[in-house]
Amino acid sequence: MTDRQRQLHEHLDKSVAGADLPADERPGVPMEHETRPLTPTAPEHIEHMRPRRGLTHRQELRSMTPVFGTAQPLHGLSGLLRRIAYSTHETRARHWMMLLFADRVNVLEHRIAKLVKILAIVPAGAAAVVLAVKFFKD
Amino acid sequence: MAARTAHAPSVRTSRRTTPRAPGWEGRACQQFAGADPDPHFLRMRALSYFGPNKVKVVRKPDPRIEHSNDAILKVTRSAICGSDLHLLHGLVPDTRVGCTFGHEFTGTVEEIGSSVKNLRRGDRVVVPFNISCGICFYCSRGLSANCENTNPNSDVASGVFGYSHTTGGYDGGQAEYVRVPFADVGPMKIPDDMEEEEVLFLSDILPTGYQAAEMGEIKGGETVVVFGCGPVGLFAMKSAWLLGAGRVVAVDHVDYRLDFARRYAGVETVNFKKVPDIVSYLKDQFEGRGPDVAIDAVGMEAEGSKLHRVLGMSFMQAGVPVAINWAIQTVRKGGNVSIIGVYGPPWNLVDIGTAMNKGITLRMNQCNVRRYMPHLLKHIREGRIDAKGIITHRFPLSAAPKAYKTFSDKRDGCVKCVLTPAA
Repeated sequence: MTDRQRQLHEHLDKSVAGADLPADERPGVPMEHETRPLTPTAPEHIEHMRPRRGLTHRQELRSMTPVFGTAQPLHGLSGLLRRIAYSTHETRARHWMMLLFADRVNVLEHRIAKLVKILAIVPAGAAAVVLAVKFFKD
Repeated sequence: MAARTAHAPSVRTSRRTTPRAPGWEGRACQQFAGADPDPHFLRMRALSYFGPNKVKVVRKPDPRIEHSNDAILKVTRSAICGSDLHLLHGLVPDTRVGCTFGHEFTGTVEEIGSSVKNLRRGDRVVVPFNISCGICFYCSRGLSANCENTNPNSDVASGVFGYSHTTGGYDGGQAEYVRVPFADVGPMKIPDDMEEEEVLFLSDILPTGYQAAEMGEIKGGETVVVFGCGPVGLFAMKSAWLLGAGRVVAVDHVDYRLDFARRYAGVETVNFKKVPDIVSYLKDQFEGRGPDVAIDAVGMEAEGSKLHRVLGMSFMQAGVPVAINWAIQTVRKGGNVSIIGVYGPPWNLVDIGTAMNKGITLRMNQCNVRRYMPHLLKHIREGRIDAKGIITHRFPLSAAPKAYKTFSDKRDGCVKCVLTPAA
């Protein structure tokens, strides 16, 4: 042991070093324990959420899992690409590459939508200014 | 304002106190013309993703009870995790525009579903990043990170808050409010005498670091090398001491993080950019054999190999496996490699031949957070772990994009950023 290591050991709080050395102090050992609910308050059975439009599930599932996220449902071209991706098994590279491609398309869709909004607002704003100027001149 | 539920009745407990955005009704009507005006539209502020390296704080619809065991939390603290940077950089498949990140958060219960028994309005809770049902094949064996009832989109992980649709499509906690499924399973009440920031990291990085060290199967006196001095790496180092390690060495290339690791975790450090070959250097440090345990706490954006970096960042492989390869090459024959860094599917150029020929045991998983929370809470209460001590930066939610920039660029000595939605 070098001086540096000895110094570090001396600085180490005695209550810290080896506090969890006994195996029964380790909450994750064994990694798979005997079968029991994860917490005492875990529900006895799980109600299924109602399926809705714009959601996806992996190919090998016949339906959605009982509980799922509902953020950002599918839409537009990126949604179509994602639907195609989810029709392919997730062990295939094309599943993941298609999803990454759809992500980029999604960003592009968002930027185009923003641009369209700006293009719609700018002429309307300009027309309003022209009309206002005319109105006050008259 | 009445609670609106999709199909499950909820127990509405109070009116929200947050002010509405000026003109929110108008915007809701414009954007959703023809739909019923819904008071939930565009009320809360939330960080949202708009493309690689582009996040903004915008108004979004409030979350709502969608299942009888859901709860809605008012977020009190939310941290930015190193793995959020993978989302930010556009490396995680199916990260959709509008996704709210954030899987490390504490909150106050605002609204509960009709079957929730364990929580009441006003309870302060810390929430594990994995969304777990508590009773499926995996949950009942303790593997809550592998729950089969919460992620319809992929078999590789359970549902995770704010981590793309690959992990179920749940919005995360970098927002004013968040929907928490299985409120009777995941959330743990915060003791009255403790602050949010003391327990915030029980949601992810502290249990993750602890599980990393535990998977190293330290039995007393072992030598441990931890790759990565980020928050998870720091907690893995602390945990290695708790489990009885004899010597701990940390590896990184960012000097201020190495300094922090020396001060915070009392470990030896090495900057891999300042030695000719990190694998040979580490072997030399451990009698030419290498350490007993090597922990990868880096994940898919590792530095250290230009070839892997080019392949990883151009999606020719799912992330950069440099830290795994160094761990495999460094650890002694018959040693343990513990992987807790995040990698994406479907493939990586991992040096599996060396692992096989050296007889190495590879242990890995996403962290089964719920199992570790009570145990690690005890360590925090008894002063063995100063979890709050790694926070270097605090930002209001409105400054979240700046917080991401600071954390991502490793500016200003940043180790861990915490967001305060109420500020």
